[in-house]
Amino acid sequence: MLATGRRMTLNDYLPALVMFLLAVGFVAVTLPLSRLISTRGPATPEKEAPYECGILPEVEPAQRFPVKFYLVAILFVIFDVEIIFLFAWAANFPELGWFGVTTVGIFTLFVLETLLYVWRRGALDWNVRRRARRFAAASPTPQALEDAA
Amino acid sequence: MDQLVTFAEQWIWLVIALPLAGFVFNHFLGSRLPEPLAGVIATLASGSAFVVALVAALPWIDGGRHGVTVELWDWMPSIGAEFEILWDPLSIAMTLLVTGVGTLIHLYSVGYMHGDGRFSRYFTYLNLFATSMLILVLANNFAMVFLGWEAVGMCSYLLISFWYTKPVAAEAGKKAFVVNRIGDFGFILGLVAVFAFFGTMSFDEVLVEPGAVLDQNWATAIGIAFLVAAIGKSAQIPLYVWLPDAMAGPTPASALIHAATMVTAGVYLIARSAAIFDLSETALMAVATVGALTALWAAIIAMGQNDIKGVLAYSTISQLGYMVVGVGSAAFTAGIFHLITHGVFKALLFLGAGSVIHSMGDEQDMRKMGGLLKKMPVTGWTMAVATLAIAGIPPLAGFWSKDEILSAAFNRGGYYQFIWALGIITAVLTAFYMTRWFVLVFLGEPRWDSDAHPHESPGVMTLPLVLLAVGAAVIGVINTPWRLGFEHFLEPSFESIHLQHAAEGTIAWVIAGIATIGAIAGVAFGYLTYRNRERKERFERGASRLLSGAERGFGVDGFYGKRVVAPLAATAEASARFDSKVVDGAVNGLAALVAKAGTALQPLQSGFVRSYGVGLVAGTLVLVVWFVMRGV
Amino acid sequence: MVETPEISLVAILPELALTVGAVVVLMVAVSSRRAATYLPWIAGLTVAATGAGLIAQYNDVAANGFSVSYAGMIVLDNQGIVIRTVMLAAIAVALLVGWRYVTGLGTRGGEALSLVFLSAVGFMLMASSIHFMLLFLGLEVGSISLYVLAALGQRAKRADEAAMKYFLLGSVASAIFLYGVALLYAGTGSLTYLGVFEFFSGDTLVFSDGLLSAGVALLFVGLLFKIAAAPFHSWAPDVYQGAPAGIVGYMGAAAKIGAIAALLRFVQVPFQSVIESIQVPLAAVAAFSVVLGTLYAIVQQDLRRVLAYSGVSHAGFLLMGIATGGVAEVQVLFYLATYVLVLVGAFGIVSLLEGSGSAGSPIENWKGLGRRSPFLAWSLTVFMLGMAGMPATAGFIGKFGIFTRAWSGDLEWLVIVGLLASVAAFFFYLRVVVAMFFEDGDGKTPKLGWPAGIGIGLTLVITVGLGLYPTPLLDVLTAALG
Repeated sequence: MLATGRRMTLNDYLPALVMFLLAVGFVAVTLPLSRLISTRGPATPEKEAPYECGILPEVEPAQRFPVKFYLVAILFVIFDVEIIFLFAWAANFPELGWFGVTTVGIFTLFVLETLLYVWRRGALDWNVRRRARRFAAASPTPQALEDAA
Repeated sequence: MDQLVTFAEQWIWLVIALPLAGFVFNHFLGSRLPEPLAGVIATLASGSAFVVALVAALPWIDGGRHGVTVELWDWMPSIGAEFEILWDPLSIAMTLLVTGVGTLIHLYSVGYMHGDGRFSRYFTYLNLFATSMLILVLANNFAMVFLGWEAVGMCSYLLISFWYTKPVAAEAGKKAFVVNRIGDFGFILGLVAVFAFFGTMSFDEVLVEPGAVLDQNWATAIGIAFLVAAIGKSAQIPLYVWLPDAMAGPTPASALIHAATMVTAGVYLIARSAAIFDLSETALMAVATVGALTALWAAIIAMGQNDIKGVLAYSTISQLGYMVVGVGSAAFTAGIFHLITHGVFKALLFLGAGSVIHSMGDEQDMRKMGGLLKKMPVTGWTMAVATLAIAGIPPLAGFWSKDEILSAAFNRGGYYQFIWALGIITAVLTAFYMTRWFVLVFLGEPRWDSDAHPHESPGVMTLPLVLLAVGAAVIGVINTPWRLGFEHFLEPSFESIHLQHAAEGTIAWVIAGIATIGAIAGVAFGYLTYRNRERKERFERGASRLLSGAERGFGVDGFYGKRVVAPLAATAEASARFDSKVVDGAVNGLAALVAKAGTALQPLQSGFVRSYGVGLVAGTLVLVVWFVMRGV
Repeated sequence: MVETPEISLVAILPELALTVGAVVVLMVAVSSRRAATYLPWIAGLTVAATGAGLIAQYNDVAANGFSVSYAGMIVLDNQGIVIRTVMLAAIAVALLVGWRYVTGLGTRGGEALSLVFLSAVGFMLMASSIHFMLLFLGLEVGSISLYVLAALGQRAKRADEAAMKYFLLGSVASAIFLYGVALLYAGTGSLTYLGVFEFFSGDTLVFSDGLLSAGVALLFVGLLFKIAAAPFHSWAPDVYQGAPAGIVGYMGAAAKIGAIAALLRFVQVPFQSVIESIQVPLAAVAAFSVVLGTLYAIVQQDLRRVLAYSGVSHAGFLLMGIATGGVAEVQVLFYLATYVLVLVGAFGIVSLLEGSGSAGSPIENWKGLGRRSPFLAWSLTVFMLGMAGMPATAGFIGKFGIFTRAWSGDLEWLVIVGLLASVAAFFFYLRVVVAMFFEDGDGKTPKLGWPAGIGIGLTLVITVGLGLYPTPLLDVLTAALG
């Protein structure tokens, strides 16, 4: 471990170097390898098609995806990341004892509160129109702001 | 007497509080009162302050008594700046001038501002000005002086641009403001330096024995800083250009602020810090030089002015130059003496000019006046007194004070005799241009426009004229070579320093004689030249180049405009262009793109934010390189 | 068993109160139909509870002296208490003057309120943190709340734009800061202020370590960005102009409070022994900010941008005090306290005139306000004079204090630059005053509600009161920090 107030030596950087070499090595090995072991046959129309089965798309997909996907994705990320903390706690459960339980309890409360909030605000409502209506009611236009002011 | 001293200690705060009360009252209620009432209340506020000051001054009149300090409350004790009044001879003299002349001008304004849409607002400013000026002169520390200094400046801008719908007035206010910032810069610099050396701003500690703390070089530096302040406020070369323009304000305000009181604040500052100037001959010489050059230069310009107030404005600059010469010759009492007498007769001149302008229907061009003495006898005769007083004809007030300054400068010897010579030339010119002024306005044939109907002003305006004329005639007797009453009175304020006294004996008579002959010659030449049309035209042809140059102020304004303001404006423009191209451009470009694309996010990828990051990244790089090169 | 770090509730009481307030506000906002009627009560209670927490902290420090808790991450001392008090005052005034904005948001008003509280938690933590990671967390909690506040309830393109730029550039700055923390750790092996201090005062050989030096530079850049010091200020004008007027004053104030608190601690503890090498760049940034902010402010046509660039120059003045290296704490805190209140008050007036939204505020709109609404016009005049440093306002005392400290701290050249700039600054501060009183115009006549009236009146009293009689506050500050 590092001692406070001491100069770091080159040895201390060794793990970082190993990590770096591993990352570079992984790419350096797998890319040629996949090239090496894959078979290359002639291109057929079927192979060029986006899907092997199913309906071919008639038009290009819209440039922008409906924002509901984005919203759900970001909510997922938030709650997903929270789990990382729980994992660390679970791994050290016996050592942390009641201190850990209390801390995580408080933490979980906050997460739950967030969930409750997004739920009540309608962020989890898959019905876009209904959500839009709720959102509009909740969020005034600049004009409404001016009128209020 | 002791009772009166106690009175002074207990009630002197009223001198500041009464005009302040007038200001507060008029500010909130003035506009609801019928017209003259707001003015009457303001006049009463100022007048009662004068009475209090007069009573409180009685124990000091005989001279020899030291000042008292009255602490009102802790303001900034950590820097030695309490809200504390210093009631000593110097502040007494200033207070009596400010409240005395101020009250007369308040009274006069009641008549002059009659019918103005913002009648009560005008008196609000006037009272506020009186309050601020009194804070300035009654302060017992530099911080309070600065507070008053800034506040009088603000009132001055407010009053210059009082008729702000006139572009000239608005411009003039702006100019006065900008030019004065330079002077204020000097003041703050001096303030910071004083504090850095003394650790306090209180006069009690700074001015008692500054030599123990300051070496000569620092005394010079602080002195020069205060001189810069005075150059701005008291309109000396090279910053005098704001004062002639300041005449765009109402004439009584010009009389009070831009002639009698506020512009003398610079002189007062130098006199107050006499103990610091006493340490540095260099600083004193710089002061005297600035004063003498200004006096001469402004007098030359005054010869070619055709505006009735323009002449007086340049004459004010010139006379302020005399005062600066006085304090620069270490003749602080003489400088203050001239400050007082000038305050009286210059206020009188301005009020007279106001009376003329008033009766001529806002005409200010002297070429369209003449022969007004018959139509306006009171104004005319009081102006005659004032003209002779400023010209330095004995035994009127101006003679005594000017003579004392010149005599002291001569007596100091060496370089100062050169200053004296400049002063004598100025004195001749002063007598000349003031006579010209009087003759053009009051004597000769009427040259009025056909629709002018000059008439004498109402009593509320002529009464102050008469009172001031009496003052201008006799106030000089408070300090004559035979009885130095005023000098004796002021001496406790300048006890610890080497005061320069006027010459004595035969020399004194010779100096006074030269000055008197010069003044009489100037008056005679002016009268003879301008009384006769033929001679006038011959003279004006002969000196046409000089006079037309003087009329334009020798193009100094244009020079400043071209060489100082324009490059500065160009710099500001350039940085503005940078701002609008690189920064604003990014905003606008982005906004435009947003409008086109209909979403906020797309254009953010179009690269405009990059320009925002440029400063961030460049700054980071510079800092990183610096730290890496220098190490932490 | 892992050792339980010492937990001191009193050390985080104000933050705790604000967090609870933020949570309750959100819950009430989504669960009650009459949420709007409860909001003022919750806000008031939260502010009161935070104030009570501060009093408890003050008593604790008075009884036990300063204390360190949470494994050497948080310090409870008078300096932190003062800064948190300033923060609380800023919140209180901001909510008073911006209450119309909060109610105007409808059910989203709760969100705004909660974000205000959360950002305050972050910036308050910066004031009590003595650990670089906690500092970063505080910075992020505060900043992210501000990003959202900037975009909240807006349908105006200009506002979206401002919020997006704030967010993008702010993230870059946070990343720079975090990178600095990483390099600092790599170089010193410590993340606590005390550890870094010991490192620097112990081993002199390391001073040439390039990575460490770069890390320190990056740390400062991150914080200089938050106080909008030039050249890290480019976000400020857009955000000040585009963000909702009702809350933007608070946004500017809060970020400045947090970052100045951190910078002040930087020169007091971790980098105290190397202050000589830090002084020059800090002073250079200070001079640059003061000059650039003033120059740009002069040419602005919009009061909001004027205030933004003036904020840049105020950042410079604050840095001037910090560059003296911890001998001007009292002056810096006095300046900070008075400046942020005036800033919040001034923006309150802007929002009253222009509405709480994202409209700009061209000087044109201010013409003739002196006639239409004398109270607001005079209040703004006092605020402008206060920012300019007119004597008899708190701004003068603040500037003067900083100048004298910097002068005696051998930064004479910086004082002269500052003086020149503050002299020139009068010009743009007074331009709006001239417009209000000396030019005729027929713009909107603002309606002044009682909360805004109280907020502005309070700021007015403080500005003038502390200008005429600053002794009490200066005494308290001197006693607290002395």
